[in-house]
Amino acid sequence: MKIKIGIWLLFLMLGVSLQAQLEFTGFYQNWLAIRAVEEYDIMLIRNRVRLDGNLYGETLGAYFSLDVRNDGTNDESDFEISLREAYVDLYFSNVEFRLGKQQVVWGKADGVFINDIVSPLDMRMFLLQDFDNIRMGISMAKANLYLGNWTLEGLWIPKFEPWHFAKAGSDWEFTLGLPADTVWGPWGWEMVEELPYIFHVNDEKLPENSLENSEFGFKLATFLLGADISLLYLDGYADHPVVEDDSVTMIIDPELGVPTQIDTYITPFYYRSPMYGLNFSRPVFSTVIRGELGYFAARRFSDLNMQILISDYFQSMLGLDFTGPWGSSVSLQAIHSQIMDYQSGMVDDETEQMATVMLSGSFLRETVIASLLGLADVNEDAGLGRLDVSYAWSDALKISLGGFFLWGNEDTLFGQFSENDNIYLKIKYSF
Amino acid sequence: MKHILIFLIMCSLGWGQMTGREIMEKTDALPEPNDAVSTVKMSLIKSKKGKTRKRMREIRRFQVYYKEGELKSKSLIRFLKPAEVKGTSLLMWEYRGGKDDDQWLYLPAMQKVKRIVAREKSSEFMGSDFTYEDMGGRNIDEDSYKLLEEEELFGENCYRVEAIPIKNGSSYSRREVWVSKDSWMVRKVHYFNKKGKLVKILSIPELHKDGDYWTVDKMVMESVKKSHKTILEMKDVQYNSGIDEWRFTERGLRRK
Repeated sequence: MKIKIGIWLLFLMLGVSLQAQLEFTGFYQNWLAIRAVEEYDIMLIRNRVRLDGNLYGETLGAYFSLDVRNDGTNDESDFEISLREAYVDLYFSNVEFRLGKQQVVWGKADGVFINDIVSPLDMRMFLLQDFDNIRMGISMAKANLYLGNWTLEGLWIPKFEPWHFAKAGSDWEFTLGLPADTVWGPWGWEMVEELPYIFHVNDEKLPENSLENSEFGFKLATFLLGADISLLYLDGYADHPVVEDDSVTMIIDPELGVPTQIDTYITPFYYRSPMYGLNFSRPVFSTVIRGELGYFAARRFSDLNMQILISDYFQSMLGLDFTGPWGSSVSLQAIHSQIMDYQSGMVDDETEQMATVMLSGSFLRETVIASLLGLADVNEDAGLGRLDVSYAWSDALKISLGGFFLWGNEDTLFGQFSENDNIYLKIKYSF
Repeated sequence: MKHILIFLIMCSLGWGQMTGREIMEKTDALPEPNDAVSTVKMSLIKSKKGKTRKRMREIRRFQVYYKEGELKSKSLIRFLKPAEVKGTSLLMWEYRGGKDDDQWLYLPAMQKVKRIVAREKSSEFMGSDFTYEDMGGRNIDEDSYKLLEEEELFGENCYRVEAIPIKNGSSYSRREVWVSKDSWMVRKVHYFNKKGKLVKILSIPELHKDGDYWTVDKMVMESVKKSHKTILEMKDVQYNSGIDEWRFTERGLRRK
């Protein structure tokens, strides 16, 4: 079967190459990041080469994006070659198909991902990656039907792909756990004094490959009364796992007969949670108003006893983009999240609010672009800021200087990385 | 003898001569195609202390014009160069009756279509010496006109017409426009700022007629005080090729 598919694809590629133009583009990038808090060590020396191949014609097209990356720090290096995307396009008068490894972007929000959940994220550097590199391609079949102002997009994903997280021990390992000062034993009583509470994370449990476990979704988009509107539906897996405890071991002091350490073995697992979404954007005078509403059925949440509780979940984003003089712009976003059926003991808050701001301006005939990005968790007084100034030395060479700053308590999403403030220099040569 | 004298007096008073408005109406009445496709090479040239620095942009432009109805035109601009922005595309729907344009921007690296609002008319277009106002052109009724004189330019006899905005809203206090007597095409424009100072000079040294339509092959916009100029060169121009309507939708924005 695989051989047949391979021959078919080869044939298709040959057909494409005979009728279409072939083009290669890409870039080389060096990214040096130095920690801006004590130790002041080199956090990252990343060398990346990207090669994109593009075949395009009237009825057929094909594309691949090859990424070669080497990350080095003071004491280790990490080398990776990956095929970010590789797909074939078929064009008909009112229908288009895209088959292969690809990215699908469904969101209107910048820097946050509410309805934009089709393509998994590469979170190995949390949110510090360039946003154009943070999504990962996955194998899928996608079809678009065009009827006047209406577009119906359907997609089928045979195999679920989870987000990628940083490996244990790296700067960007997610360390969020239970609050240290209110540890509840799994047997149901409150510990009177703090104990070493050690989590052992088992390999994550992925859904088995089967037709039943495949994902599918639809997007219906139109242009109505000056607004871009999309209705979305995705029957798939939640993009990050919940954990449940497999076993708990309590170590007891043999002399005193009191517990001295608790070892908990947890297993991350993925589960299905259908998403119903609405996106919109519309200009009003010199401002674009955009938004996302996402309703997620049967979301799983851990409680303090490492039990799984089920509730629907709702997220919304309202954004405003202002365009100013001299190439300046301001984007503001307010994000609200709500657990619809909140139950006591849930680790997550019932409601969460986030705000983002993006200021940017271009100078010297768009050769210098300065931007300030801020993401703030309003509930937790935590967040992330990025200041970036880039200069286009020539049409091909761009140099960027900037810094990332993270703040908040260590038990918050952003605060867990507060030791990772860094300043960076990026040099990018495009060809 | 008496009749000759009357004729000479009438001539000196401008009898028989076209008015500035009539000249601009001739320009405005030049035939327009139903659609056009072209590749535009844009060179941004900075000269300072004898040194010259050049940056290049290249775009493919698709445009369709509507003779009637709410929509005036739709255009799709796709960046071909430089490499870093290749594939970035801008879709614009222009309306009659003063309604704001609808605009969408496609960023291929993000694979995202963003709704945007038109930049201020006085903003630079892609870092060039052209502003969005310069690129968009002006409706003939937005200015009052006065014929200043006749001059030879690029080997052609031209009318030199002064155009002054009737209402506020333009970045310029006035323009002087050279219009060819032969083709009725604009060959040169002087732009004056609100203080009445000459700030930019547009020259159109090369053009040709392709069937019913005049095509500008090259135009140069020079900023007088900034030692900077932008050269636009058009190539692969096609008229009335019957561009599919879907080119001017999100589908067209995303299509490679």
